[in-house]
Amino acid sequence: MKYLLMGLIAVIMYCNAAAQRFYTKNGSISFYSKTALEDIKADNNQVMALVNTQTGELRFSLLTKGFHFKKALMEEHFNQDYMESSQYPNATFKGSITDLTKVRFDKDGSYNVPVSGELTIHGVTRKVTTTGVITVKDGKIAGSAKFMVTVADYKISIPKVYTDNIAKTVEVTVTCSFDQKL
Amino acid sequence: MAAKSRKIILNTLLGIVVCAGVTGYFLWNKKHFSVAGSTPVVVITAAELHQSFSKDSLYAKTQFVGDESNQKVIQVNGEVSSVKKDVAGTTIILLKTATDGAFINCSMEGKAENINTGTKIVVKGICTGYNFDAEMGIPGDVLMTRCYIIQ
Repeated sequence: MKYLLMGLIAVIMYCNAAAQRFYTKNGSISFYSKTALEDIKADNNQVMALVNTQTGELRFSLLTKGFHFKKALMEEHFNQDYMESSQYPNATFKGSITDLTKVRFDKDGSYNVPVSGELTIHGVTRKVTTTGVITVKDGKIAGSAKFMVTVADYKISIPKVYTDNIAKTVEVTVTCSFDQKL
Repeated sequence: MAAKSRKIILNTLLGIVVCAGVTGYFLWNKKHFSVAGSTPVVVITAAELHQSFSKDSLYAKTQFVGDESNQKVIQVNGEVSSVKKDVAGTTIILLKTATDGAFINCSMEGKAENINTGTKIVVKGICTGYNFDAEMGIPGDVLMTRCYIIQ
């Protein structure tokens, strides 16, 4: 009887922990490069993202070929010359909300949270720290963040002929509604 | 004679510069190729497509995903699991596969009116690959972009 009760408690605890993981497969990540010559924007709306409301774990995964540009040539250069998408098909973020006391997942509101983790782009992994916003409304969780990425940090080389067209640091915007539960 | 030669050289150079400028302009403003007007390289069911990637994603890539300058358009038949909009208002259609929680994730470029859960459709679009991360514990989707419903 004692073991049965312990087993039952373990199962309940596991279910509770599992219920704290929310995800989406259609989060959005866009980047924006601004120079005197031109502005470049690209969007990817098939980002897989996960948040664990109990541990603060945050994960993102996307396919670089999923970025869509207004101009076909830009998209071609992005995949072929800069990101080398066939060789490095994924970009990922593995990190966490570093201070869970800043957010109440059980109460409607908009919370600024510190986020830290490892961002892998073009096969290069670097530590990233930023502030994200978690929004809780009617039990639904959404997240957003904006941060800057220095292109050279990820060994992305831009040919000299385009160095005036592409910013050395691009703005990355993340927007996700974690509408599924694990 | 020298003046005539100089004129010919100058005109030739001018012609080369104009040609290069026009070519550059058209290349820079080249439109995306038409997915709607493309012939699919493969016709497959949603379940078969997903199974190919989940079984051997490297091999599946060679079959369904093009390279950077030659994207592959594929045609997929399947049953709609759900229809939703992303933050920018783009329609996303998820097609059922044989794996629970795993879909063919279609980001639409064409219209997607009167499409409901359970509807059987045929979608044409660019396959960009398989988004799966074992550490996340989420069933991976096969991703398609710039999709059109053709039936």
